[in-house]
Amino acid sequence: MTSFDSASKAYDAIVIGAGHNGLAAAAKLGASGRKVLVLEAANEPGGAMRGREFAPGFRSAGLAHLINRLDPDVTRDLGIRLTSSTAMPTSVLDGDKQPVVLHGAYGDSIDGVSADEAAAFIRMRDKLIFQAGILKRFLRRASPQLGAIGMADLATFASAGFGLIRKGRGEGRDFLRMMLMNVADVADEYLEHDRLKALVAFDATLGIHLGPRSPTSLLGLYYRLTGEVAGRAGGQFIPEGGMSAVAPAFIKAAEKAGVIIRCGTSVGRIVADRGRASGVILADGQEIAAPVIVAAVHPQTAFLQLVDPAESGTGFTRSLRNLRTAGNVAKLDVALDRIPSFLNLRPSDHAGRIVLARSMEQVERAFNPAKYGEFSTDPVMEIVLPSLADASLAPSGACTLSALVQYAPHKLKMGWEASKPLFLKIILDTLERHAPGISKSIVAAHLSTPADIEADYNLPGGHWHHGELQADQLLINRPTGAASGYTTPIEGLYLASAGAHPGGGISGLPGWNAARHILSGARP
Amino acid sequence: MVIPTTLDPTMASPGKHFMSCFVQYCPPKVEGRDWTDADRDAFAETVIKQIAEYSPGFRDRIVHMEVRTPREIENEVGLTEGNIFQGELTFDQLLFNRPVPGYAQYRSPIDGLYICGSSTHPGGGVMGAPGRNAAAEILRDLKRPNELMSKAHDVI
Ligand SMILES: Cc1cc2nc3c(=O)[nH]c(=O)nc-3n(C[C@H](O)[C@H](O)[C@H](O)COP(=O)(O)OP(=O)(O)OC[C@H]3O[C@@H](n4cnc5c(N)ncnc54)[C@H](O)[C@@H]3O)c2cc1C
Repeated sequence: MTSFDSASKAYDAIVIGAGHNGLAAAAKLGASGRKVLVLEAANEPGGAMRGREFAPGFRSAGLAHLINRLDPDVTRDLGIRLTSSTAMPTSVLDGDKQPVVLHGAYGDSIDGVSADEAAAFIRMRDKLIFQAGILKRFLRRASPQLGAIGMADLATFASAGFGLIRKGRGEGRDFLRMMLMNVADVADEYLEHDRLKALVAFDATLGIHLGPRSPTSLLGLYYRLTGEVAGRAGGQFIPEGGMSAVAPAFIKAAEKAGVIIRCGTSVGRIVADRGRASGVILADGQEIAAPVIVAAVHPQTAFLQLVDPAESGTGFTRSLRNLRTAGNVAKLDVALDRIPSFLNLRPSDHAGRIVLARSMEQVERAFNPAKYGEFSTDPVMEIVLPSLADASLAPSGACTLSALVQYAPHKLKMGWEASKPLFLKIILDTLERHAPGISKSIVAAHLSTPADIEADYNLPGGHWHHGELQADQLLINRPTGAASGYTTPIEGLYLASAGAHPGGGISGLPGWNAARHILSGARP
Repeated sequence: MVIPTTLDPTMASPGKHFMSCFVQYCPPKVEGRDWTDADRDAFAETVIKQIAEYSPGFRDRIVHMEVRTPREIENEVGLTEGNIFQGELTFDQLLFNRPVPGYAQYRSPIDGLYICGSSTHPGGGVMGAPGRNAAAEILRDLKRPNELMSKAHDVI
């Protein structure tokens, strides 16, 4: 092995997994003067933003296809610059009528609905953004620990409470009433328009195993609205250079902080003895020591695969085995010989986010089969055309299309092997209905089901958030009570992936928070 | 399903029995329109058929049957939409939100008018607690002591 391994004692910390959270944690630790080694199983860093050629001449930039929650504190602190000069509208299509197009941050102005309806949407949006703002205070720090509430926690509670009453009792009451509602009842309270309702229903449930009418489904929409772009909640963008620019920006920040990243290096074991972690053993048997181990991988990978269960305890491993982490979203990459044209959609809006959802009821009905281990036969989806932002993804004149398709349960009753061709056909037929003629321009189509995502990205369940983002797996229970503050039952071993607080999406927060927690020297 | 005559034979003539069924799910509207008598009878038939699968000969033992869909429940006892809890027991309608935010203390917008049904905290079921709690609030408004109040279950 190379020379730095023989001096392996020299590492202050080892980060397992070079997803953006692992890289954020490594960069933060490195910047504090720690000597940090990142070990990544895949041949390239980036995690879910690892790109690949899915057809000759056509590349996908990875699973994530747009940014809506990259945290400004994280990027500022790590010196990451990812911006875009062009705003990204959201168009909601039903394959028939004029599209509904939301401009600005989540519908500052809306085409295709009446002025009254647009005003109602803004009223609802502003209320939800206000409420999400209260919850947001809890995202930038470790979640409070029951029985060990500290001064900083009290300050967060106090500021949340103050934020709540600042706008008067009515707002406070509404927050306490709405917090655990389902998104459908809220949409019904404010909106009339089918596709606006469809959009909020879709956005609240994307990546989560809930239908719009499932209790607490509003939390998913709050989570989206805690994200901000250029200071505005609910925005979204694709950076200059496309999504392929995101992982390199994190890598650069880590390398600038002196972090060493080794890819193609799968960790086989985390060495722990009498409750204390002291290093890792690679799949090839090599051992590397470090007093701090940061697992920026799925919590189940960390504790059901890498740590000896005898070290973490039966109750703890059982709670992780019970973690609900079956993915619901399939990712489709399509190579097209030209830029597609969606029905009635302006050319400029093709560079935005396109949501195919007719009504809230369609989203609900799409969810029904997923409860019973079947895929939606009338799926809803979010589409972007990545090559419009990053020309290197397709040959000149050609185009790529990326779709996140819901619902595609991880464990399919009939098995994905047998069912994938049919699901792909259903999705392509749906595309054809919304963009007549698109079928003829398809050069190749590559569908990744949650089962494929699990295998290709070392991601148990193939789940967006490394574990359901629902009330019982949030805050002090993320991923599970005994490991919710980035610390774990094993001293010196920390969790830092999307499976940790505050959850998934390209935010950088779990990794950055974990590193700050380690640097603060706080004990569990 | 319960057969109360197994405990209290006086509810029916000797040798006969009374049986009561609660059946989920039965929405207040059928495909968006009001229930009709035909809908009600068809639904009853579905239920009887299902019971008969578990209890052969069940159908032949029926002497008399009454079926109440949410429509009948609303008409007979005035429960809006036939909701037996006077409002869903979901978080947005519980505790300080029951029945609606701002009126969770048994007082209404009208002075001297109190509410104490299942639509108030802590909700539905034969429990007596909403009524007892409301009484306590009324005594408080009247500045009367409430030590002499009996427990709800003693009253029931
Ligand atoms: C289909 C899909 C679409 C998505 N779309 C979006 C989107 O549009 N926008 C958005 O913001 N978010 C999106 N997300 C969510 C987002 O991609 C994830 O939440 C995010 O990637 C999590 O980052 P991470 O760093 O925590 O983990 P990951 O990105 O999963 O990285 C973990 C890394 O650990 C490595 N690893 C695992 N085991 C080992 C081992 N034993 N040894 C060494 N390395 C190991 C893996 O190879 C991987 O590189 C999407 C998710 C999915 C599944």
